Amino acid sequence: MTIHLLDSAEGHPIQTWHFKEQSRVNIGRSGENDICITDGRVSRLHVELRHCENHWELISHGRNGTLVGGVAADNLPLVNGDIFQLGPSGPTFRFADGQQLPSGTATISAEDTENLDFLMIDEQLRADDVRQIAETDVFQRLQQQAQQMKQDSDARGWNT
Amino acid sequence: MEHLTPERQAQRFGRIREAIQGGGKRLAKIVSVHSFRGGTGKSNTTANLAVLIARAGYRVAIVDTDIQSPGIHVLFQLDADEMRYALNDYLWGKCAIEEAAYDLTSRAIGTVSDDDERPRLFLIPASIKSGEIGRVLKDGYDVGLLNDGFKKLVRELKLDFLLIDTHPGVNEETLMSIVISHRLILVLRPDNQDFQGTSVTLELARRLGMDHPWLIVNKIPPGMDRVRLKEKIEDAYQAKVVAMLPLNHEIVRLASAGLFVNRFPDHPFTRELGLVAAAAVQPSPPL
Repeated sequence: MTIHLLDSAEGHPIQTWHFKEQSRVNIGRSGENDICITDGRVSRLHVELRHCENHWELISHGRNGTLVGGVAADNLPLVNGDIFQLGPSGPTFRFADGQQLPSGTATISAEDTENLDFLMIDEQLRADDVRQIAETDVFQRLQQQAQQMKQDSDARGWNT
Repeated sequence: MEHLTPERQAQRFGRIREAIQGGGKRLAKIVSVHSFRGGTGKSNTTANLAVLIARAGYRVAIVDTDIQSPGIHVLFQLDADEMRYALNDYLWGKCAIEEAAYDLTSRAIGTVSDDDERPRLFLIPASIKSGEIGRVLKDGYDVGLLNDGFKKLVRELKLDFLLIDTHPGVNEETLMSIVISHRLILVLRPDNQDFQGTSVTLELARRLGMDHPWLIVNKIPPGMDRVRLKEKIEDAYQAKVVAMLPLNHEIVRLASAGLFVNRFPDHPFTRELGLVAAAAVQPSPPL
């Protein structure tokens, strides 16, 4: 089971926790929790995730409540991809139970912070993107202007 | 929009630099801050960097050219009712650009005697009225006008630094900002989409003569190997990483309402950005 802390503006994961053999995961402000969030809007124990037979349940203990999919919830079974928020303006998380997310919601991101292999450049894609822009009139005009400016400043001895 | 010949446009740009480099007097530097996607912390970085540079004893202005999603005014707590004019009004010919400049020195830096010319911090905000944003999307604007405005700002406000907070992604205004800038700072997060997109922007910037761009890696999650990350990025891009900024819960909690470097002057984030400010004010050969 995996929990992603999401960037509030963009909704992509900014931190990720993996849990393999635990049947209970606690989230809150206190350092004793499995996921500790030092944020004044989060209660010391805010959310408990409990594994029941073949699914996970969310149990809210937080003073400011917990929203699942934007709706206040006390006790609710979670499905893969569910988004829950600690209080109406608090941090937001995405729950993933190891199955594939529905298509279109998967985000390529810093899933594993130990390994930097996810930072890859697709050279073919890069070359295509660059070519598409570099071929436009706007770009070629700017390129000529940049060259002209460089020559002008060379002529005035600025580049010596 | 008006399309000048390349020669004519180059003359116009050249005049901007001439005004900036002005005959042996104090030289102004134009710095563009850009990111491939939104949410990298670009505006936050720009605002805080501007404060640090101004504090070092300079006259600094920030122009919010992110007209489609303006935001930097919030960090300076500049309310809509305080903004008589914005950059949009200048672009529609309703005011001179310096009329859209707000002196935020006292709120961002502290009291500076009227007799002292430095430090000073100005902001030229983009309009937050929804109609104005829509108008830009619908009609576009003459990016050349933006250039003329920059030149006038440098002259009228006697600037040492002009920081341009650009719209994410690659468009004509971004590319033009790169052409007229002495320095390009690209802000990226350590994730795959930013990594790919930044490689495209860097290649385009190089083709526009920007040989030594700076990279700021922001929102680095705890536990990520910073040394390896820096090596990997510098190796892939052949460009200098000038700051590695941690994912900053406090800055998230300030919720875009306040300047982090003022609130947390001793935080590692502030110190790291301070090194960028120190490097930015070093004299560099003119373009």
